[in-house]
Amino acid sequence: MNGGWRGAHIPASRVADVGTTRFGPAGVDKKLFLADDMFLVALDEWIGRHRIAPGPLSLGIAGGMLAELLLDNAITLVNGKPRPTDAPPSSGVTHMIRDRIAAEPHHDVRTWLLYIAKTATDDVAERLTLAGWIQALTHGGRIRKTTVLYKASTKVIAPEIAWRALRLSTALGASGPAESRGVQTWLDAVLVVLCHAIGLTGFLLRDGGPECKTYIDEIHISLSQHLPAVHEVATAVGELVGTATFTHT
Amino acid sequence: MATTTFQAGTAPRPSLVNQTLAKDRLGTAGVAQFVLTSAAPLLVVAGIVTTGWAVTGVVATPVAFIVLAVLLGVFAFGYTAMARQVVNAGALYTFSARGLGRPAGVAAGLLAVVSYNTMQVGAYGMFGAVAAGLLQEQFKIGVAWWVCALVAWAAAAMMGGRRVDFNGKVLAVLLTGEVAFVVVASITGLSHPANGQMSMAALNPTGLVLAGGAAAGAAFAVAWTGYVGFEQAPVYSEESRRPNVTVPAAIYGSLVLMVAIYTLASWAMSVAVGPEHIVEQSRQQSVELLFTVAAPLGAAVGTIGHLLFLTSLFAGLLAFHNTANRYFYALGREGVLPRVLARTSPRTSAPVAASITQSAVGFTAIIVYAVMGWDPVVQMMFYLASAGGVGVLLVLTLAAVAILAYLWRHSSHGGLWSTVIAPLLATVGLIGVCVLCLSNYATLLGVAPGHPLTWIFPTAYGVILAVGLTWGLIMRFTAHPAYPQIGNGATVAPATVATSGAAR
Repeated sequence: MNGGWRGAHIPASRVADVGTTRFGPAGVDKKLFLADDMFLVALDEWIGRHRIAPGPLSLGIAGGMLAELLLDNAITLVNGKPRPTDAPPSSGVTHMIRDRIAAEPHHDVRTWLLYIAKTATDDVAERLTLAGWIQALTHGGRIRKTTVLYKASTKVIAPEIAWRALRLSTALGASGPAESRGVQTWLDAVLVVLCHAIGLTGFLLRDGGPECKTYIDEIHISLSQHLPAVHEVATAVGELVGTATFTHT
Repeated sequence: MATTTFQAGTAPRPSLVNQTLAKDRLGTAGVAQFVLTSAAPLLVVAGIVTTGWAVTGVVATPVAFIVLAVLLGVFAFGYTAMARQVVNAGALYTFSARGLGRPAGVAAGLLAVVSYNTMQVGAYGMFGAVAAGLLQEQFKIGVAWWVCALVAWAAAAMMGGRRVDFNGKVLAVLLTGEVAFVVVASITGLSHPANGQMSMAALNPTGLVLAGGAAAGAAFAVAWTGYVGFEQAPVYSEESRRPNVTVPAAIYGSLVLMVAIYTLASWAMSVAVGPEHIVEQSRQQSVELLFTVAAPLGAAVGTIGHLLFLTSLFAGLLAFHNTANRYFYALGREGVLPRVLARTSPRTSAPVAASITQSAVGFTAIIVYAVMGWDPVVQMMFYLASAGGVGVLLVLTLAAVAILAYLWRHSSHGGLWSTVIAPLLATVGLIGVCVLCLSNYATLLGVAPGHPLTWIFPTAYGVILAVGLTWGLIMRFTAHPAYPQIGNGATVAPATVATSGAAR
């Protein structure tokens, strides 16, 4: 490891501290769910569009939602299939997903990802809108195709949205001072592997060197050892993104 | 397949998850449309069949279409049986890896990517020649064929690199128009027979046994290029509503439609011109032969036919561009080829690195042919389409052997016919066809025995397979981290690559 790198040796004892809440900037709801962070990391807040195509983005966000449920202990994975538990999910959106899982427990992770991805982007956009982070602006009409732009709700929020991606880039060593390098929480580790699954790390590591990619590999190893179910979800996201690219080519 | 959820004492409820996912999935017609677009029926009939007659001198092409269709129909039993067990979009080379081992999968994958690239490049020659001819005839504008070819190249490169597709409905309309034109032209040809007699000579099976199998070898190679594309159906398994039903139905439906169109049209042209004159007229009129047969329908129909021919050509070369991209992408994602080939555009998810690579190959070929002054129809389109087609046939044959081996080991699903008898018959039949094609390359290319091209192409197949096999074995014995992923194609996840690479 180079000097300044904290590495992916997130203490095992902190696995128990994993939750789905963060503290956001002043003026917004002090909760930022994992899938919401995924949405914001991928968002170019100045133009209001995501840096990733809609297909992989929705799969990444769907992966984030399943990861939220796993981290809340609201579901477990048994032989590749999600199973509901008695623990309550942290948000209404994931609560509905957990209820659907309970009603149809025979589907595997890939099927759930494809199903959740159908509305994942819109669901998370609504969650972020209600929390005061963004506003959705619809453009187009009869002739032009309708597009939705996601802009910061206020000018104060805009740099906070930009910070979500810059924070990760810094943690991965692609920018910022050396002493800031190193993923510090399991939530960020999960976010990194999900970004990797949907091809967003090219953007996050654009100013970084090859050691950044090696670091991501180490995060994968750590996550697969400490949070194997979540890593399994991230792996499934990556597989579906690859398959979709192949089939739609 | 509607999976139901049950509660005690209540009627089964349909699965909301399955219903939701089924809305955007493809039905049989959707998958068949992709297959037929790749096959490009009007290109086959107007371009490949006529050029085949001109180059090979073998009249019995209609019979070859029928024989091959039966063989491919038998092959499809084992193909779909394995597709039910190995749900992976990689299809041919994935099956080779699962059935014969990963090194064999690498060999099949390399030959597939080279062959599809070769076929795609050949289509630029035909497009350039047809477009230049149309511009001259309709608008009196003289443009070199390679200029038109470069325009098509630029359009394909842009569309492939940005994942800009023709609207599905537009494609369906154009495909319907193509098929309709071929059918109408064929009926016209049959109703205007040469010398007032409807000759069955082109449908005589004895025409295939002439010249000690040379006729059969050449005819099968020409006919096979018409069917290339049907093997892509399993690629859409995971996009299908009911893969176990949709994919087989699309394969058989496409085969039936293709054999009907190709046989009818090629026989009709021989009837209209006279089987004793078909070779001579093909050499004189080249790709215009079908339109000459359709001349009684009027100039307007002829113009529409030419336009549909151009759109068929472009749709076909774009489809092969995308097929080549898929193979580059899948092999790059596995790590068999440089991983840079798996790089996609973040905003469009298009495999840009693969598209740029394929476009570079096409550009180079067009420039070389233009500079050397080689003929774009015979030497570019026909030679490269035939060479690439035989390459894909070899990959198909490898897959047939692999399917036989795999189903022999995993025969718990399916009946004896689909898991043993059909795969065995298909394997024997395809090996026979390959032997005929490879040993009669002179007839196929219309050159003298001993001409360098008669051994350059067959040798190239062997070299590519050997290189692929060697690389696969090197990966195995050096414990290359990508080796376990061979055959998984595009489903290889970054997470899997990361954990296997970092664990070394």
